[in-house]
Amino acid sequence: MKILILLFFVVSCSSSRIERKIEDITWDTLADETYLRWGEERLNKHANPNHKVVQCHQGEVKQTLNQFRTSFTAKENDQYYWLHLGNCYFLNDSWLKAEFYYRLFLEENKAPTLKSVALNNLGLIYLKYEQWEKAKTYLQQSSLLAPRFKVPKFNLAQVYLQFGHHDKAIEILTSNTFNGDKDIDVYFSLANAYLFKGDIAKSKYYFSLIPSEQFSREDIAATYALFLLKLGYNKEAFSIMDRRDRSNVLEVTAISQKIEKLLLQRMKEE
Amino acid sequence: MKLFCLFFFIYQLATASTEKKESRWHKLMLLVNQEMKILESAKRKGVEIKYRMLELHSEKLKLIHEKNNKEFLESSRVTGTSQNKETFFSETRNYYNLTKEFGNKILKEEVKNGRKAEILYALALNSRDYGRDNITEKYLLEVLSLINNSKNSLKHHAETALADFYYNEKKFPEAIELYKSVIKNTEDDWMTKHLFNLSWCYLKNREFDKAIETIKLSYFESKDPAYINVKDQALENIGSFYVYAGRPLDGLAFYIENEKNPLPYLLPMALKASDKGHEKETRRILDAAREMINKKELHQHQEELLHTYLDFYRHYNRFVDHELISKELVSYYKLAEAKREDSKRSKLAIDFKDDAIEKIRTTAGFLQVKLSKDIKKDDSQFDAEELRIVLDYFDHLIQLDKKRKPEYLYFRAETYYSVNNFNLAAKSYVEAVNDSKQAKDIALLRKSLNSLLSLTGQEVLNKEDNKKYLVFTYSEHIKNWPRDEKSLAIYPKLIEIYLESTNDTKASEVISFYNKSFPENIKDQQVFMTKVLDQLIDKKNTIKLNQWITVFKNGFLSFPKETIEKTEIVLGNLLFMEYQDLAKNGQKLKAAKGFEGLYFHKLYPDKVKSQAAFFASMAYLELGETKDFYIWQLNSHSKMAETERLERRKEQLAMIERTYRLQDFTTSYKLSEFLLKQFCSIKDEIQDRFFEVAIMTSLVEENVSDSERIVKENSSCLKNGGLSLISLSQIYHFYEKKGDYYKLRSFVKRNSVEPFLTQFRYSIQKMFWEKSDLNIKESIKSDLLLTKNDESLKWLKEIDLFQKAQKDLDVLKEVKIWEKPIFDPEAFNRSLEDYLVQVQNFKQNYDIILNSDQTDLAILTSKIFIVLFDHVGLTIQSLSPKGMTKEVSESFKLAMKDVSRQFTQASQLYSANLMKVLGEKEILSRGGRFISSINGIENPVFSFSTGLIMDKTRE
Repeated sequence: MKILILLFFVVSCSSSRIERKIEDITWDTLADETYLRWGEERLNKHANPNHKVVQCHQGEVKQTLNQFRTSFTAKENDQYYWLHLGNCYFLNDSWLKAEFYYRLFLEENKAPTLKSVALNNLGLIYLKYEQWEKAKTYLQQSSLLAPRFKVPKFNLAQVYLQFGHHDKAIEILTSNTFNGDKDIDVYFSLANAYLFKGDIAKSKYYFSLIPSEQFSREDIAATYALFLLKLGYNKEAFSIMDRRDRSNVLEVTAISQKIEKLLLQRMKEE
Repeated sequence: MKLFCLFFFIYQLATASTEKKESRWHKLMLLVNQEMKILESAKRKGVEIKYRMLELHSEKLKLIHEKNNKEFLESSRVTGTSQNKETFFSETRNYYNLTKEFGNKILKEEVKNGRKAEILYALALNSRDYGRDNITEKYLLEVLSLINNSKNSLKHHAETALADFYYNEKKFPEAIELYKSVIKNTEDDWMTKHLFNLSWCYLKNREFDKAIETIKLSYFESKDPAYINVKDQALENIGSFYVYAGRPLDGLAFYIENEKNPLPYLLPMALKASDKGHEKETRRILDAAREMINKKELHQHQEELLHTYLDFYRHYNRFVDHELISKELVSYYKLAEAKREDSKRSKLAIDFKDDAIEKIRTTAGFLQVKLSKDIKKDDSQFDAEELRIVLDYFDHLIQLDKKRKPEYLYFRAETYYSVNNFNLAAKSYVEAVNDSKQAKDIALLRKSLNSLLSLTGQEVLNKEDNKKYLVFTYSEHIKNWPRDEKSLAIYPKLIEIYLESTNDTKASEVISFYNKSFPENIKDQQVFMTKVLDQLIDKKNTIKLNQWITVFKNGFLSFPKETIEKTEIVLGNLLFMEYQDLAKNGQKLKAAKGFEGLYFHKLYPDKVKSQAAFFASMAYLELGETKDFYIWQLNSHSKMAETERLERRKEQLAMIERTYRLQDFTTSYKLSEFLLKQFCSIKDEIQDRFFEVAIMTSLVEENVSDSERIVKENSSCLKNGGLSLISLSQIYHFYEKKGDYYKLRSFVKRNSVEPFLTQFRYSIQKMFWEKSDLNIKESIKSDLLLTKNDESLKWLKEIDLFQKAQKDLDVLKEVKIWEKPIFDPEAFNRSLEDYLVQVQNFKQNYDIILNSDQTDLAILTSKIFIVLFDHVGLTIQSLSPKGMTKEVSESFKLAMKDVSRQFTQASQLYSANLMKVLGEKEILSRGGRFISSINGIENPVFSFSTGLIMDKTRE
């Protein structure tokens, strides 16, 4: 019985996303393309009132899905109906349903920008399935269809980062698309890329652009701890890790635990 | 038995009576013949004997006549005619001639004949009674001439006979003279009779006062018992005599004076007086009679009195008075009949009721004709009072003669018609029709209906009334003669009238009746019924439409199935209209509930129910209530006919496609599968689509076992057989996408065919490198082994090698090149050499898997080599054996550095090559992640947790 309860706890707490709400819009260069990083206040004040998906971003998934259902007849007035419906399912971790509606959206929309949006989201779905190649393909297609969109490129950069293609990630994130943009995740991604590439100075530079309060984010904390570790600042690294907010993303948690273990070992050696 | 006995007794009595008569006749005849024989046998026959023989001949003549007369009467009774009468009396005639000759012979033979007068008298009477020779007067006159003595009885008899003869021959003056002589004989019992005859002779001779006096004498003398009583005859005639004399009131006075109850004589006298033009006097007589009846309570004469009044007024055409008496008669008969019911001894007579009826009837008829003539003569002018009287007569007749009430109603109608009062005429015809029916007077019923039909045909009534009566006439006609020529023409007309006035109830009743009477005209009836239905449709009368559908389904008018179905559809459309409007106006839930109500209605046919349920499901679907949609689809389906089920499929497919758009994948696949199974034998594109949808939505709902079952159970229902494999592939990819090794494995076991077997090998090979669960890894290895596929076996071998390499790497990492406290160059060199040989062996052993087509394996093997070479480099570089001199130590370090560099460079080369390959091919594998780790710690960036979905917040 205990095991079952524990399992339930683990399952219910685990997540597949790093929560990173940005209240200050100036730090969100992707704001025009995704609500995912919009904080509560921004969503309340500045989101398009016609976008029911906003409620899903605010956590009211079930009710919003119901609203989508009852307003189906009027969907003709909402070209993003399937997309946003899919997004709500995505936010609810119902990826099969999300994928289903993204595909419906693709069927009904021929405009490249709209297709690009759907393809980006499909790419995300396949990342969830750990079908990396397919995900990469969707993201690449998305990016090609709408080169000015930042999110598909950003996502592609994340894939590259995950699998060690740091140069490619850097190439994307430092391209004209993001030129001059001030964005936490872009800065963090570049800091991460340069770190793993071995360019500590540039990594340091990008870390320095990130507001200090963001270092509590588990992925940023873990990366920065590795950065400090590489410089031999084991205690500082430990301190960063100690102050992190737990993301509950299993994979990130595992990395954090590895870092902590290493740091403890290093400090012990010291 | 008793009855028979009684009859027999009566018969015996009757026959006994006849036998008695016949026996008398024969006895008399025998006696006559015997005496005649005796007299004939006399040798000498004197006058007396001959006269006696004449008497016997006369007697025999009488008997023969009696017999002939009897035979004639019997024959007349049998044949009913009195033709050839003379033939029956030929024997009489013959015997008369014989008797006459016998008498004349006596007169000739006996010159001195003391019996001559008697003989002539006998011959005269024989001639009068049995002959045709008209010698009576002559012989009687001879008799009188032969007798001088006025008191001679023969003379009196001869005078009487001759007076009677003249009286009968209407020779009244001659008769008067003789009767005057005859009545002088006061000894004659018949004097009163002779006086009576004489009075008549006076009357006929227009000597009225003498006549009155003589008849009064006859009346008074009749009171003397010595004379024959002719009082009654006298009384019966005295009144007339007074009338003839122009003194009816004296007659009234006579009767009142001499008779206690003069009414039996007064009333005939009144009639006579009336006939003779004494109007005022008649009225006085009748009034006096009425007074007397009332005063003396002689109510037994009341009926006759009223009749007399009636005749009197009719005679003088006093119709107002006549009608009043008619009315009085009605009251009288009512009272009389009521009294008779109470007591049979009632004084009130009902002897002339039929006569009264006839009198009133003829008078009414007379006036009716008069009115008709008047109106024709003088352009619609007539006496309204006369009309009233006629109509009153018919009222009286209806009361008096109830059996013929329909006839009088008809006459009343005719009367109205004759004075152009068409409305009342029509009304009365209707009454006549209704009463004729009640009285079962078919002839009058037809007559009345014909009249009514004729009247309505003249268009003299206002339109509405005319139609009303026309409908009545038609209806009654077909009701009473459902199948005759006229009815055949009436049915369509009557139906049209009802249709025109949109009276569908009546129209359909007539159609039904038409059908029963003329089933052969079913086509016409169907056409009319269709019109009725059209009206019901126009009126949106769903209740009746529904009722008719039930009737049609039971075979009425043999409507084809298609027609009934069309009607059902129309009914459905009408029923649904209201709720469809609600749905259109956005009140979809109300609409759905409305449709549900229709479905649950007990009386509606399945067609309507199926449609209602279908519409309910549609409404729910529009509301997004897919669960209710599903329930109502099933309800609808259960009520659908096979053809409708087929027709609805396309629509249902669209609805199902809508359900998954409404996020209800479960309903979508359940209903798809349900319909798929229903039409398994059809195998068309719709079936294929149901199948596709069922698989797709069950997978989205992650009910994969259902998906597999749907494939298994329904693959035979498809047009495109390839869909089955495509669907299985989808299921395969579902498990693969989910990374669910065990389920994928089970699936492939259940479907161990290509391409799944091959795909499975590749899938699990990939999984082997992605999964961290050791049990899974071991299971995958077993699976690969079981495939006995060369490539798989090669993979296994590589995996084994890799795992061995890992172990060997660990071993090598633990190897200490030099640990001795005192440096021994030779020993050190051997140790280093051994170590390098081990490294060399490692490289030789595992170099092969660097080029494995298992990407992860190749990358990880590269990493092993990188680690190994790096480790070797570092290990060698860090060697610092104890016990060396400074010089030796320096040169040793330099030497080791060179050796170490080779390994470090090799490590860097491997790493660079690996990165190059990974970069060029953009390989996304766990191995790649491991390569780029820092101190063995992989990048904490995971794209699936940091990636962003797009909402497209700005255009």
